[in-house]
Amino acid sequence: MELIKTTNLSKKFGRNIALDGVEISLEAGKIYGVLGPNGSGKSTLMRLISGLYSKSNGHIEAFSNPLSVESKKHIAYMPTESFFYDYMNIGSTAMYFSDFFEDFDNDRFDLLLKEMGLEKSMKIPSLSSGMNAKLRVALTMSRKATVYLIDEPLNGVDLVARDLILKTVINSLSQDNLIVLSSHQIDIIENVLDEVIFLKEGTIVLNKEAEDARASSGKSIVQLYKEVFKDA
Amino acid sequence: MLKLLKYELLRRKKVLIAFGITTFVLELMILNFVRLQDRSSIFSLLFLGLLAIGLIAWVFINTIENYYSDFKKNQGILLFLTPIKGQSLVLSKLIIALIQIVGATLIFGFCVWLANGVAVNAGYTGLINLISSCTGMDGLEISMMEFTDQIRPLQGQLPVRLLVGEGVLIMLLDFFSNIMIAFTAITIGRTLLSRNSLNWLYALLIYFGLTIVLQFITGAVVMPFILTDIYHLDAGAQVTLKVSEGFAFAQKIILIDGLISVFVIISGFFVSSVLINKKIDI
Repeated sequence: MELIKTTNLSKKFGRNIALDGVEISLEAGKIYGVLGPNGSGKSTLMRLISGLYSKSNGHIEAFSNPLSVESKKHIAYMPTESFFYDYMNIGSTAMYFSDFFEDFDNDRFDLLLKEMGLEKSMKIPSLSSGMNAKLRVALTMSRKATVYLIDEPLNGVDLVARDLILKTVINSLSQDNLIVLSSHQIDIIENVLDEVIFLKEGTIVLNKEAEDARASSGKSIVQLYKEVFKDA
Repeated sequence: MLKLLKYELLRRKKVLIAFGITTFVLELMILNFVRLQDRSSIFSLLFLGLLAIGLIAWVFINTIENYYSDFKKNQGILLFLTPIKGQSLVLSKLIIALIQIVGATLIFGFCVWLANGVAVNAGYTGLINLISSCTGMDGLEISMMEFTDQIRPLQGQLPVRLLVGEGVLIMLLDFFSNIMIAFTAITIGRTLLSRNSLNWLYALLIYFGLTIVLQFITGAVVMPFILTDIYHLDAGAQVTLKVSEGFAFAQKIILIDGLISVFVIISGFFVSSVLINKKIDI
C-alpha cells in the first residue's frame, strides 16, 4: 500500500536548489533509509513530507491525497534539533503532544521514558543533547502514526542509547505504517533498512530495495555509499 | 483553539509575571507621589501616563514578538508539526491580544481608581495649585470653571455614552488593524521572501510600507466627505459649526475609519492564514 508519493518534487531556497525533481514512492510495512552527505537534501525531503517546508515545484501525495494540514495528523516527524519551549519539562512536552495529536499514546510514552532513563520532572534546558535526542524519539514513537520520519536519530547519543533508539524504531513498524530513517551512521542502520534512497546534491542517485542493491553490486550498503559519495 | 490559547498563555507566563510586578511597583510609586502632596506629586500624573502608554505598548510588542518567534526554528517546528490551520493560529493570537488589552485596561482602571481614592482620602488638591505655581497661572482654577460652564450646555445635545463607546471601539479596531498589518508583514517576510537573517528587516519595511499605503487609502476615502461637508457649510453660509453637525460629521469619519480597520483585519487575517497554510518554511 502506497502511503507517500512525490512527483518531480523540488525545493529552492533563494537561488540554492535543495531538492531537484525527486520522485519516490513509500509503501507501508517498510523501513526506508534516506542516505547522503551533509547538504544532500535528506532533511529537506523529510520536512517537505512533514509539512514544515512548502514545495517550490512538483507534488506530494499523502494517503492518496495532496499533502495538507490534515496529513499532519498521521505523519510523525522527528527533527534533528531540539524543538521545545524553554519553559517546558518532559511531562509538559508529553502533555503538548497529547493535546495536539489524537494518536499520542501516554502509556507507551511512560514506558519509553522509563526505558530511556528519563523523568517527567526534568527541565528541557537541563537535558544533555543525548537526553534530548532520546526524548524526541520517545515522543515521536509514542504516536501511533502511519508515517514516521526520523531525521538523524543517532546524533549525539551513546552506544547503549543508540541500540535502545534503534530497537524502539524497529518495534514501531507494522504492516500499516512505514518508517523513514536518515543517518550518517550507515553501518549501524544498514541491517534494519528495507529500501535505500541515496541523495546527492538534491537528486536521487539510487533508490532500491536494500537486498537488491547488495545483490546486484556485490557490496554492502556502506561500501556502495562510499563508492557513490567518494567525491562528496 | 482552546489548546492553542492554553499554550499561548503558558509561553507568556514569565513575561506576564514580570509585567505584573512592574505595574505593581509603578502603582506604588504613583500612590507615594499622591500621598506626598508636594511638588513631586506631578510625577503621579506622569507615571499614570507612562503606565497607560506602557500597557498598550507592552500588549502590542508582546503580541508581535510572540507571532514572530513562532516562525523561528525551534518554536516553529513544535507549532507547525501539529495539525493546526493558519486560521486557528492567527485567531488564537488575536484572542490572546484581546484578553491582554482588556486585562491591561482593567488594571489601568484599577490603578487610577486606587490613586484617586488615596488622593480623595488625603484631601489632596495640590495638583492644580502646583501647576498654577509652576506656570504662574493663578487664574487656572477660574479658567477651568469657565471652560466647564461653556461645555455644560452641550452635554444635553451630545450622546456622550455613544461617543465614548465609539471611541473605545475605534481605538480597539485601530489597535487590532495595526497588529494585523504587523502579522501580515511578518508572514510575508517569512514565507514569500527567501529565508535569511534579515527577515525581521523585511517584515519591518513591509509593515511601514503597508501602514503608509493604508494611510493614503484612508485619506483618499475620507477626503471627499470632508470636502463635501465644507462645501455644504459654505453654501449654507454658516460661519459656526453646530454641535449636531459636528457630531454627524464625526460619526461619518468614525464609521469610515472603523470600516477600513475591519477591512484591514479581515484581509490581513485571510492573507496571513493562507500563506501559513500554503507557503510555510520552518
